[in-house]
Amino acid sequence: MSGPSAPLRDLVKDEIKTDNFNPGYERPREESSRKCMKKVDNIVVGSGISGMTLALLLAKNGQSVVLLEKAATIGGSMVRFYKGGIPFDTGFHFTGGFEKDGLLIEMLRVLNIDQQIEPIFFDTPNSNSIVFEQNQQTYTLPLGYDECRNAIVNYFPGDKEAVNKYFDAVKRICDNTASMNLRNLTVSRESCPEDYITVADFLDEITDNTQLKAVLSVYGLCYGSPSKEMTFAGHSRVCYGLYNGIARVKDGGDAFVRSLKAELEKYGVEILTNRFIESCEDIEDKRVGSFLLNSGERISTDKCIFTIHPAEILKTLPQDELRKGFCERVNGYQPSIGFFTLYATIDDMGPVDSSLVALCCTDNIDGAYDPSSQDARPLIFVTGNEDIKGKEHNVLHVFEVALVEDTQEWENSKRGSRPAAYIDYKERRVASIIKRIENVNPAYKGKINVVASASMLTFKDYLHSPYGCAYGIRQKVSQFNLFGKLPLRNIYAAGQSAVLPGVAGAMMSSFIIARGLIGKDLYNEFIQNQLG
Amino acid sequence: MDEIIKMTNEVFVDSFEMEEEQLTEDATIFDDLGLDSLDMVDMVVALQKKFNVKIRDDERVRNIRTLGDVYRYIELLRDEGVTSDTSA
Repeated sequence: MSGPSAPLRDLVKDEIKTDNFNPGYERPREESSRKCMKKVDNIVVGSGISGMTLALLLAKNGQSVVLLEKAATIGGSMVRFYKGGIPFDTGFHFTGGFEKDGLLIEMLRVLNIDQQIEPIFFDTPNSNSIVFEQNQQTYTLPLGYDECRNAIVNYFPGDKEAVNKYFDAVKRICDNTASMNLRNLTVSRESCPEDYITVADFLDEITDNTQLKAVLSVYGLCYGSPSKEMTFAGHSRVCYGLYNGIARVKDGGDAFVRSLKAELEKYGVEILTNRFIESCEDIEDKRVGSFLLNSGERISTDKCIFTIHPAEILKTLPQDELRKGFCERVNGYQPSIGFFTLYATIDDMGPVDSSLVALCCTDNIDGAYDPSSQDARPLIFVTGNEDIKGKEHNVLHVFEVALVEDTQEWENSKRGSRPAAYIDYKERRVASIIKRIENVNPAYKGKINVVASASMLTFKDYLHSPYGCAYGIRQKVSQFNLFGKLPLRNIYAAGQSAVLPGVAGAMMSSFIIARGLIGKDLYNEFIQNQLG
Repeated sequence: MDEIIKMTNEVFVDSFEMEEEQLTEDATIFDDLGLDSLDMVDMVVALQKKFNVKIRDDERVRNIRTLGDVYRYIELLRDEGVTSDTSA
């Protein structure tokens, strides 16, 4: 393996030669002859965490399901690639919700994969911190809701009242959100006063302290919308789990994909990879009778649920069946942030602890959403020690906020033949990221060995997402997401753009849709049986 | 009010392919104009954009039955000064 001094230029090329990547549907398929029409109860489109969850919930309740995936393997952004045995995670790095009886744990229990998902908590001293480079201030957040609250009060004793107001509000909002309790889901838009005010407005109301506001809004990086656009209620629903039970997962997203795949097979879900819907056919009275796939296969189905990006859903639906108002709504969604990601090992050191650092240049975190800003963008880096083929490696994953605009000028270039200017861009960002991390952690100086790097264009190629953004669409106050029934009566939308971004939010949307499709009574009985 | 009527009708013509002559004050949204509960979301989004207002998904929206109800609802929002910074 190349040492830390390996020329960066070789490492920033976009054709990451991974051990397990197959470009998928771009390959022509041989078996494209038209087959006789298959009939199933449900088609689930997209095999990310939301699609896998939904397919399994339906199958466990006796319905037949075909799960369609455009790529060659299932998993969507949960996929973990390996290069030289070193893992790199595409979309899943850590999550909240691992506290006892937390929402995520309960969802995993219902899916019967809770035993296979092993959280690695950031629970050693100083293992979860926020660092402001501008003034060298570091804030460490302990694990647990009240522990976080107390730590922040200690950092900002003069703003004790503001901190308490914030933590009281976050908890109250989550306690009052029906959909955060699996026994109590509702498809109707959640509504509390904080669904109509932004994070920025809420924080401005309670304090003038900009550093405190930055500390309380930094987890916005986990939903990818600026504080002046995100609703405070949405922020609360994402952050509650992060304060309570933030953790990495042993084997990363692979653990989810592997265990869900085994369950999907056990319950007879038919997984079709390299497939996508080419057209909706036999439409009668606003119901789609059958779907023609790119492979030439036709499937007739009662219901089709899309868990993919709304822009991709819109492209798939028959345009002449849609009202302009609907298209305008969907076209009005903006992409969330993406991440420029760096995969590395930390060599010549003893085992490093699991740690998570949010590194912010200034306390103006919303500045990261301004493509013209000259400030370095916030980044998060996660370290951990992984046993790879009997050898321990210190693995470092860094993800720095990226915007569509960063790489827009090269978006029409193809993987493998991107221009030199793009390679320069990646090289610059990699060098700057390493410098920032070495500054904040001098012990890593000269020991960071880059394995690969990925821009939003890389993610666009590898994950088949329209912009390569991390969280689907940007979440905004007074925005109506695409969720539930669509204008064609047997077509539905779920996924991380539907309810809340992130793993838990994406899974939640699938539970809500499943309840609607299975029926309330059967669903309640099922949840009761699974959770006791 | 005339301006509200004119702008609301533009939304129905532009985003929902309605004919101008269908758009009378007592036309019911569901029966006469043929929208359904799912179209209502798109209607709300289009109205938010047109009038630069924030519309809550609340009782008042759910009670809208006729085009005249829409006019009066928008007028009410205007009077309350509920404007939005986020929609352009």
